[in-house]
Amino acid sequence: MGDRMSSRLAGRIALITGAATGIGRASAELFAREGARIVLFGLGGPALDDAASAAGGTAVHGDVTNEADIAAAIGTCGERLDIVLNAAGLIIPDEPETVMDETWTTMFDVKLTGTMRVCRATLPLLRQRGGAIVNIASVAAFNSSPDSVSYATSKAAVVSYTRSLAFAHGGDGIRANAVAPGWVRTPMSEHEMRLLAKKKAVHQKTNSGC
Amino acid sequence: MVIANRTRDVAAELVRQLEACNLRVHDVPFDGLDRAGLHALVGQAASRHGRLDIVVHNAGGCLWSSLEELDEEKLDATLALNLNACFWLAQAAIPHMRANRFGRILVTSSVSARVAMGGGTHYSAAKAGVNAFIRGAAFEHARDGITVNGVEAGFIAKPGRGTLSTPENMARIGRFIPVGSMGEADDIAYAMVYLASEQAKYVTGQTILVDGGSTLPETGFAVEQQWGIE
Repeated sequence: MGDRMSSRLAGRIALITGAATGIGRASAELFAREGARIVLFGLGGPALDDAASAAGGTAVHGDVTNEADIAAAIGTCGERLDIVLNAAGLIIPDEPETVMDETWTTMFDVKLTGTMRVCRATLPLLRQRGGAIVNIASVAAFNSSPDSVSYATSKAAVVSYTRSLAFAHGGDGIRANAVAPGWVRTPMSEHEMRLLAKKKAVHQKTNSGC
Repeated sequence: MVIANRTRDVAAELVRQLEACNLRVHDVPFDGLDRAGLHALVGQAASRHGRLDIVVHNAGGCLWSSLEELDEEKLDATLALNLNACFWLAQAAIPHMRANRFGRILVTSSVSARVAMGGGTHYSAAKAGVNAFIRGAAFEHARDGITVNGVEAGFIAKPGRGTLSTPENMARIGRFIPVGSMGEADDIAYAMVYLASEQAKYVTGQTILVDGGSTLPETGFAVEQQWGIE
């Protein structure tokens, strides 16, 4: 059942950010199996190239915080673009009392502003034929958990940004939606798990008097 | 597939159409929306095929009335059809689903669960109840391989039926919807088929809004400002 695929994305051109690993990469491979041609954009070096060859797509190495990199990725898409998936993300644990300006700014710059920059730059192409934008938010946008103040806040902003986008461009035939994943096994969440485990170990040591 | 529709000739016609596509379909009569009637319905479906994987509670509707004029009959009928039936269908289906460690319980909900329409207070309350049912049932059965989800439908055209689906009204309503037109039944069905699929195994207790963006604008003024409403 899992392997039976249709051709739901036949002939579509998709730009996927954060495509080297995790949700971005899984989506790139699935979109490709559904018939889309993929431009995989992001950091990750060899992992991005690897993902591109798995998806039979084109890798464009670059950063969503850099306008020129974004322009290069869009240039690679060619004359048309149908789908934009913003999956680029990162996680730096922090808490309200001790969060540093630098962490907060980085989280917002990559996830919220990065998503905005990619959408802003791709809208003129998407508008030509209509298309779909999918932004990866998080359940953290709606439910709180420890150590995720800047992560959760920026993801909530992604949800709100997506609504504004959908409202403003619905009439252009562009749909914009967000997906809010829970715990999904990806290199990013594994990293966070390790950080949380480490912190818990420190707490246990502290509490046991070691 | 087993279809239950109060209007039997509609069900019979659907069976004919689906059989023409080489699908095995049966329609079964059902005797009311109470616990016994819906348990019997689920029992019939399960015994006919020896198992039951997916239940879709799509039947719904509203007996429109202002709050001030609402009588017990209309309130009870609206709650029984939209909300109470979820409980009895799920209750009857769960043992069959748990036995196979796989189940999909799906409900057609409505944007009315979160936004208001005059004359539909009781319908809105029922659909908000449906969304809460979905969350509660999903939580209780999350370890049984059973997921419970719904689709919140916006304005869906029923060409040839209903006063809202006359060509003039459809065009008029479309002007208030961000994507520019009323939806089609298939728009809901595609969301349902995803939620029913093996691939949706990590989605439970959720509703997907399929409304063409109609619940996005802050007010009607936002729509007027964006596209103009003559």
